[in-house]
Parts: sequence; C-alpha cells; structure tokens
Amino acid sequence: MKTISRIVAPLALAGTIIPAVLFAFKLIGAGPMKLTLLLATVAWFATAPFWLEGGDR
Amino acid sequence: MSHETQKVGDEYERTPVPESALKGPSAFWGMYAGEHTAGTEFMIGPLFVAWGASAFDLIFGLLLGNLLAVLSWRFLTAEIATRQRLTLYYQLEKISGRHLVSLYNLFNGLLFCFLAGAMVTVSATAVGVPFGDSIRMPSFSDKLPTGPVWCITCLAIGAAMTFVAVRGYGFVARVGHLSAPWMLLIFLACGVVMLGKLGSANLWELIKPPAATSSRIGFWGVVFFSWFCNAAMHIGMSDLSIFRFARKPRYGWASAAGMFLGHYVAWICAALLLVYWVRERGADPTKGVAPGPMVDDAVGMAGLICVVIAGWTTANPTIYRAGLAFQGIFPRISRTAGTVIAGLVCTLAGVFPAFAMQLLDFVGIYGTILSPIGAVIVVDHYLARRLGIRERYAEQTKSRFNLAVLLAWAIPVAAGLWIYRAYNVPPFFLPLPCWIACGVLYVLLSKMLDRSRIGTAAQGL
Repeated sequence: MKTISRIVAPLALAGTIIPAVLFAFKLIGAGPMKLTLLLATVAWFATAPFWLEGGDR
Repeated sequence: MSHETQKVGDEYERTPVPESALKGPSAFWGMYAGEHTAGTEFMIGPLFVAWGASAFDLIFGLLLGNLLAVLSWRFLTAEIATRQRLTLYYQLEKISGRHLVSLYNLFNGLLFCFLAGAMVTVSATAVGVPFGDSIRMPSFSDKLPTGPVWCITCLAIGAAMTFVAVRGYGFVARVGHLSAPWMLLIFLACGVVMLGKLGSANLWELIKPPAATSSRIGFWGVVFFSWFCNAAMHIGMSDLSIFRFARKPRYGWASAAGMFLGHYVAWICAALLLVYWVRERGADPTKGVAPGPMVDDAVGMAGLICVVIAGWTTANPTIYRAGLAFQGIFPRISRTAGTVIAGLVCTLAGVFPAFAMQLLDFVGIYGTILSPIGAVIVVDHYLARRLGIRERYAEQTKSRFNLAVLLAWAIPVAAGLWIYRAYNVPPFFLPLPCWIACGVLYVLLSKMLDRSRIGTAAQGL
C-alpha cells in the first residue's frame, strides 16, 4: 500500500492543479475539470495517510 | 490551564519544556502552513475586493504586512518562547497573578468562540449549496440569520464540530495535516480557473476598485491587516505555547509558510473569485457572494469539500482551545463541559453571519483586545531589570492579581475600542498603538504601584 501511495498521492496532488491549468488554457471543459479535481481529491485522501510521514499520528 | 490538564495531556503546561520534548523545524513549517490555510481565507480575499483594494495594494501590501508578521513571530515570540519555554498562560500568571489570567482566559475563550463561529458560517455556505434556492446565502451586509434552513444548517455543522471537539481533536488534527497541501492547491486551482474564465492574467487590470466607489482599504490598510490579523498570536504571545517546543529561535521563520501560502497566495486566489462574479455575473461588490457558491462555480464539489474541511479543521482546535480557556476560569468543570459550552457559543455565533461577513473588522478587534497583553511579557522579559521594575511580579510577591497589568491592558484597549466606535477607524490599525501603550503603561504603573506598596510596607514595620 505504501508503494502504491508513493505513486498515487503525488499524482493526486498533480490532478488537483493540472486540470485547472488545462481549463484556463481552454484545453478541457468545466465538467471534466471539476470531475478530475473530485477524483484527485478522493485519491489524495485515500493515499496521503500512507505517503505523508507523520500523517497517521 | 489546570493542573489536571498537565497530568492528562503531559503538555508541560506548568513546567518549562524539557530538552527531550523539543521538536525539529519541519514540525513548525508544516503546522503553520496548515493552520493558516483556513476556511476563512475564502472570506478575506473577497472582502478585500469588496472594500476596494487594488492589485498594487494586495500584491505589495500583503507582501510587506506578511513579512512584518513573520518578523514579529521570529524576533519577539520565538525568541522569548525558546528562552522561557513556558505557555503564555503560565508566563502571564507569573507576572499578573492567577485571577488576571482567568480574566484573560474569559476574553480569549469568547473571542475564540466567535472566530470558530465565523468558520461555521463559511462552512455552512458550502454545505448549503446542494439545497439550492431553499436556503438564502448571506451577503457581506447580512448580520442576522437569513432564514430557518440557514439556521438549521449552521446548528447541524456546529453540533458536529462540537461533538468531534469533545471527543478530542486528534482525528481532525490528522485530517488537517493531510489536507494542507491539497487545500493550498484547491485555492490555487480556484485562482487559475478564475483567470481562465476572466480571459486575462493581468492582475493590475483585473483587481481594481469599482468605478465611482470610494475604497475602504488602501495599501497601508492591507499592510496593517495582514500584519495584525494574527496579532494575538505573535505580538500577543499566544504562540509562546507553540514555539516553546522549538529547539532554536530561528524556527520562528516557519511562520512564513502560513503567511506566504495561506495569507498571500490563498487570499489573492480567493479575491479572484469575487472579481469574476463582479465582472462577469454582475454581482454587487459591496454585497459580495457567499464563498460556497463561488467555489462550487469555480472548481465544483472538490472546492466545497475544501471549504468544509478548511473550516472544520481550524474551527475544531479553536473550540477545543476555547473549552480549555473556560476550564481555566472554572477549574472544577470537566474539559468536556468546557468544550460543550465553547461549542454552544460558537454554534450560536455561527448562525449570525455578522462575524464572518465582517471578518476584517472582527479580526482587528480580536487583535486589539488580546494582543496588548503580549507587551507585558515583552517588558518583563527584556526591560524589567534594566528599568528597575520587578520581574515576574506575581510570582515574587505571591500576588494573585497585579493591578498594574490590569490597568496597562484595560486602558489602551478601552481607548482603542472607543476610537473604533467614535471615529470609525478600521480596527486593524489599533493593535500596534494599544500594544505600545500597554507596554509603556505597564512600566510606569509598575514603578508607581510597586513604590507605593513598598512605602506602605515600610510604614507598617
């Protein structure tokens, strides 16, 4: 789980900002942007406790 | 802080923090980054826009004000904290006596409750979004509850926050720790999306006071607000309780994480939300728009989750601290009872949008009332010996009430609040003069009262 989290958690963080940048440059629409942000949020909270040192204390 | 708390929590509330309990710098950088990215940041940015701040005021005013706040933490709070290694409450008790600390706790606890109430209000604007038109969101001019659905939403959120705070805020602290980097990116995402929707990245052109309106806040207003919105924590010395765990005073620089991420990047991004609504949706800047609908429009459900979590993770420790402050006044009540009282006051305050919608004023008043007490600690630490006044007066004289501290605190605060009411001076300009006046008065009154006491004692011999 820790190995998966090390990969997924940073990707989730990237997924929180990159869709917004793509939307600003009109490369994706508002719907997909909001959906990706929500999925990235779920992924972050699922994996961050295993990734962040001290996060489970 | 009670003896009981010390035994239970082992937080060294009545002893200096020992070497073995000191923490490294990363703990402080992480804590400040998380604690100063709160739900209320979604209010402050738009309020700057509503008050007519320009891009120059925001970009350079916030830069200077936040820098001054960081310097206050670094060279006042962290310096004293790492030498004394005591909480504000215990250090104040040594100077002012136990009874005066109880009075300070009362004000501290109540103001904490109102601040947590503002966070309940902000969270309610997010939770209320799915209810659509059945809930009327408050505008910047609203002071009273906007309807029954609004009240029920706030009461439900307040009750949930109180319940969690009663159970101990370990879980919420953990969520807050995990949320910090994600929350900041959600704020950034809001800003980027708004720039995209506005079709320009030229902040100078985007953020400017509406035509034919007079600005209520300029460059120096922004500087003083950002410097003193946490006045109670730095010059007011509340964060002695945090930095007493720091190995070195230079860890005080960690406050920069909170200031330049939460109080700079996040405020500017939040400000862009209202800029968009004013320019593209025709919103009245003076009435504003509640944070929930603006964030939902910008980034959707992830934004609403962010508003709730940001409010919740900051309100819960605030309720918990207020509960401890009340317990400090009435040591016989349990921590649970203290937290429930704090939660009730906070929830009732949350129902009234006045605290959140007039947050710039409230935060200024908060700093004006609480921060001057920090000047007493600074005088006692740096100047008492040089100026010939007794250090740690109450401890040395076994006094329970130091009149010099009470007068030095009450006179400038009463004068400051009178100036605010009578002359409509924005309250974030008041903490600094009140703080200086409190320090000067404390020196003069200590000399005067201590001399008369010594004289009386000598006559009695």
